[in-house]
Amino acid sequence: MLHLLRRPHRSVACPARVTAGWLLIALLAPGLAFATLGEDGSTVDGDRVQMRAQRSVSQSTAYSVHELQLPGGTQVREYLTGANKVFAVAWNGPSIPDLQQLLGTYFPRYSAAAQALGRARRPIVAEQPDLVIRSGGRPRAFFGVVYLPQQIPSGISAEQIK
Amino acid sequence: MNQASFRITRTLLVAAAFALSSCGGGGSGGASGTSPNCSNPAGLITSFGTPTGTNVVPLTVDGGPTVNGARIGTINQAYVTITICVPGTTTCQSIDHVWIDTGSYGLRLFSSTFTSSLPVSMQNGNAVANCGQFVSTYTWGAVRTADIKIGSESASSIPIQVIGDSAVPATAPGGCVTAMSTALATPTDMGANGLLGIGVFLQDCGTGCAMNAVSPFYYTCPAGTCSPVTMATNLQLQNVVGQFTTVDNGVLDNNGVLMQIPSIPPQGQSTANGWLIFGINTQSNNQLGSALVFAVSTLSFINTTTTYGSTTNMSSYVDSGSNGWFFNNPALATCSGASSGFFCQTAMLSATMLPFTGTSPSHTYSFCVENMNDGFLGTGFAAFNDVGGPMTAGTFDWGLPFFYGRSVFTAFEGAAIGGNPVPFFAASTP
Repeated sequence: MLHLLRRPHRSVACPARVTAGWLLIALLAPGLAFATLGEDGSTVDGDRVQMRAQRSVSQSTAYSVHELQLPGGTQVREYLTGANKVFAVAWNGPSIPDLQQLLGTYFPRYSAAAQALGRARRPIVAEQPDLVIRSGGRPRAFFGVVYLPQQIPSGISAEQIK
Repeated sequence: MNQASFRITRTLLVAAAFALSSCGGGGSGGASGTSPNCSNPAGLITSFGTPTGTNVVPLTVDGGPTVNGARIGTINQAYVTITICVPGTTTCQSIDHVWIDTGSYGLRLFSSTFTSSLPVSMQNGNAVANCGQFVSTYTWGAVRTADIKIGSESASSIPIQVIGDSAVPATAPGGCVTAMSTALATPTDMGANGLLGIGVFLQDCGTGCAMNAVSPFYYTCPAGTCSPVTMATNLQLQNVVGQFTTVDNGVLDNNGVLMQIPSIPPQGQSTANGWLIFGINTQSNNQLGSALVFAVSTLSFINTTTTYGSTTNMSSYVDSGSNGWFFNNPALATCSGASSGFFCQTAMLSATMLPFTGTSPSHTYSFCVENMNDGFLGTGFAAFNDVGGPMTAGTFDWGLPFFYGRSVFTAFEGAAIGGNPVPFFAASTP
């Protein structure tokens, strides 16, 4: 199910040396595939292993998208800045991925936002200066985004994170 | 955010503000007192009469079951009464206030509501457990089989989930709980005595769980430790209506459902009553007629276009189990406190429903969202057609408010209906 995928647009020109440097990082760290929100992208390939995911990477000028195909059919997309920090996590598919794994230190805030709904069956929507949570869907068709608005690099808007 | 996207955002905000200012009662203040700012669009169906047939049961939106002498007080949850029986016997009981959910799959009941035991599903000598995952909640319990009757229609030996079942550990494994916080462990938690998942799919998981032991669906728990297991599709929780075997005028009414609830006033209504009709194009009372058919994607999404927020919402769906209009419109104020998650601004809006692929048919439905902090909402009413809240960009949830005053069809995966490939949602106009 690829319909939600919107490949990053090359909407902003970027100095060639930045692109080259980013590609070099990718070459030096071939296992780099998965990360936890707010953390460094180079340290957490074990997370990908834990979720038994297959990955693919798409590259833009100032950020990259690491897409994981989970065994149950859910797709996870990790957005990394050029400085190799995860600034967004998005998913869609038949089940909600392991958000404790994906959100790391931000998971308690996601959990609190979910808990605030109580028994209500509504999307989780929380917008704070440093964290935006939007999670919705229904069984066999979930989707969501969690991102750090202050860390979104130029070249991508919040609405492009899907 | 770069300059280009900032400009786009500003443009959308200006456009949305213009749309709001042109709709009469718009504005951030909302009304005080008891008069709603919303008005109903023209042409909603005010009465469906009394449909008759083997395939019809009444539904109600009445605030939910009574617990300890008081109604739970749910909003926009539609219920039916079902009968469950020990398979192959006449040992049966009736369960009222089972939530009609066209957004999930399988029947989920509470062990506390049972008066007799049903056989437990086993795998390699262990009881099978099931997890039901929702956005912010989950259900956990054993899989048992039952004969199910709804009105005059019946299905035999259907796997169902029994929540709070002592046959499996009381605590759900991390794979079921990790993304969520709230267990639906009691009827009060759920706002219902059970959940009747009768959406477009025939099982709660499908072939994915038949091929792989994936979380969070099926588990066995030897020595108290639960691990995912594979489960053949016929042993998974079943869309009960899809398993009906009652022959009605020579045919089965098991290819979909039709919900008909008359329109309600914009200030809400204490109770709304309507009809759940089984089958599509199988009887004279469930014909598609002039309803528009919106084919879904493999994930069960349709498309919705709007003139505000995300213009194309490819992850849209029609869902009787959602109690509001949920969509992305950054220009609308959202509530804080008790009404958090709903809009706190009145707006007449419209959205165009489309199939997932292509542009035909399309129909633009008008609707209204009311300021959830308006005084009129504090009335104890159970039915409102004008509550809504924010949602992830790219999505539009046509919840139960959409159903008031319309015929809304949910066609299951399987055989084509009236030449239309399934699954699909279909709805009358306007």
